[in-house]
Amino acid sequence: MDADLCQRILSDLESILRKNPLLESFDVISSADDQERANRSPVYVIENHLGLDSWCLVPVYVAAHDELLRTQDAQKLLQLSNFVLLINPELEAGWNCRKKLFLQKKCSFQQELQLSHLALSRKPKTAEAFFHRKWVLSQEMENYTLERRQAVLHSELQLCETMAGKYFSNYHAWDYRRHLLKEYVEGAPLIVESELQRSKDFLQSHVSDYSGMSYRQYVLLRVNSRPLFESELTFVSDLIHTFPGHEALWSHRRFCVLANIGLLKWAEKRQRLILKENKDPKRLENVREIEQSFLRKTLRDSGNWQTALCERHVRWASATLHIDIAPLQANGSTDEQERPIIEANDSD
Amino acid sequence: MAYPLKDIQIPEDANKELLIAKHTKYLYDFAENKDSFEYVMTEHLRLSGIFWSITALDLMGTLRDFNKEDIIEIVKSCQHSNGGLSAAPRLDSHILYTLSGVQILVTFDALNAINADAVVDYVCSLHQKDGSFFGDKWGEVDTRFSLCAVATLALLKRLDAIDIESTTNYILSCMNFDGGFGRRPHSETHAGQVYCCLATLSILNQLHHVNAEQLGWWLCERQLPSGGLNGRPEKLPDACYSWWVLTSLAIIGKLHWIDKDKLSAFILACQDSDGGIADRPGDEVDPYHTNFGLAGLSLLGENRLKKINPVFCLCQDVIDRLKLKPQILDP
Ligand SMILES: [Zn+2]
Repeated sequence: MDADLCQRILSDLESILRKNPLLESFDVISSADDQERANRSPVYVIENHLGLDSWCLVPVYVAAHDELLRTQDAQKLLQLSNFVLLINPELEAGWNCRKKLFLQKKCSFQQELQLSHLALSRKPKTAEAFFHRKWVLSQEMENYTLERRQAVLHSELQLCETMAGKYFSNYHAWDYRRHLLKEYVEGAPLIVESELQRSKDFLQSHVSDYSGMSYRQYVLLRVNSRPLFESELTFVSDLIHTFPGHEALWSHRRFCVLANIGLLKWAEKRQRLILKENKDPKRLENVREIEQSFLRKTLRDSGNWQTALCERHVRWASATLHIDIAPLQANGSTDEQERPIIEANDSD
Repeated sequence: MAYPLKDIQIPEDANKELLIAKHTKYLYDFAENKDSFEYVMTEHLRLSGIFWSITALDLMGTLRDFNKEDIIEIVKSCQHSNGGLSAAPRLDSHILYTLSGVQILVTFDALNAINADAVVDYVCSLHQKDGSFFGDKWGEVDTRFSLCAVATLALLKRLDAIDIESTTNYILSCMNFDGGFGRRPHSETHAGQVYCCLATLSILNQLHHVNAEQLGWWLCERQLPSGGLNGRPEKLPDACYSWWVLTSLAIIGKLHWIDKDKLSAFILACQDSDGGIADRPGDEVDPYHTNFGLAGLSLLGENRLKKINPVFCLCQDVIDRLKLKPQILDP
């Protein structure tokens, strides 16, 4: 591809990004036929969506990537990194280059949010792009008024929700969301309340997404109320019956059991969750009864995989809490085995 | 009623034999192929890519003809004035590639190719008060970086350069109620991070902090009916977790909690008949999954492969030559 055409594409992209601050997503499109190709720029906007014709991806990327790592010119670096990072957001050197430009005030907070958002819209689990947002927020937020900080926080939480919806068990999206809650919630207590509701809604519609549940556990512990833990145990019981065979729900149940009997606490010194030694046999007997009746009810109507998950739960309770649940009424406790049963299959 | 178990079915005609000659050829060809778009797109992983390839070849005993002198030159050219190494010469230094570079050099017994004192200074410069490590000067924190720092210093015999207590405490602050570890405090448990944290504690001789029973359960629950392992609940099985999960079990002395025959069959099924290993049977192969698939088979006792060290992911003879003895819990 000749250098002029390449430069024109980079300039087009830059001016589109500048003129359309509200772009929602970016993708590479392979539809353009020769006729279309001749008549329009390969970078275009349709209803807030940014598209790039696939024919120019390889030649422009190869040239832009190479020049990005050679040139010192700020204006060029901006244009080149726009393109390179939209295509390959894992390239840390590209984001580093943007951070240097940001510190030199060659690009704005909004530009950085826009670029990383568009990159994430195509590759929603890119850790490097989430880190870039985390970094620019750390540079800017303390200079903002409370009102503006809250507006940023709201839109960041929304972005996390969008990316979590685009990619199953999106570790980095949920981790970034946890980071936001840790850093920016002060002065906005209602946000924790609303996150409690939003994470519940998400869980209900994504019953296999343990990353979302892990985030919810963090929110629940921040609120840290006994009635809340109790209602969560009921909530997850219902979900396990309605959606059998979901390991994520069973993992979440373990959390609920432990939280419910007060075995999970923030350890102030290390700022982490510790599993306390239990000193109350009455409580444990209570847990044993609840779990036993829950498992008996579950096993009444269950397939192989759900049964395997039940058996794992029995072993987990035995290993973690040293209680023996007998899920089968007829022949007492299940056999102790060396490892979890994995013989289930998905065909039944 | 259909149950939503997320797993794969191993095809009838899947490979059942270890294809050493094919994998060797695949990795040699891969190293030669520098004109592809993929090669440009993966420049930011280059040094790690070389590490995966040479470790896989070393495990198979076919590293001999690989271009040792050229590779040492490349590693050398990746060291920057701050002492750190980057994935490729014109990229920025980062702790991930600093470890990859050092791992490559110890494999070739060529540590004198770089300025080791400068590497130690670089690693120390990333150590934070709370015991965590930055990945580079921009300040991202991750338990992976703790392992990179500690393993690099151990291979350079310079563990004395950092404070062990705070480093250990940071790792422990990332422990979860399931006995596993995440990226940062309160992050979700992830098998890859579990390995990083266990390996760090092993090198620092601090494994007594781990709840081996509980974590062992979580780890062996990663095995699915197909025999393959996933890294988190309800994710698909993936050959690279044959390493992350299995080596974690090996470090805490619970390797026997896995059904070895089924896992071995799963990894063998991920082989391409033309060489290389993929994440799942039938998918595209790459050096990363080839290395970690082979490393998993080595841990499972495949006798056509050399023994791998579970902590450093290097052949055991390299670790023996360095006289390193990372902690492993008794079964
Ligand atoms: Zn993988």
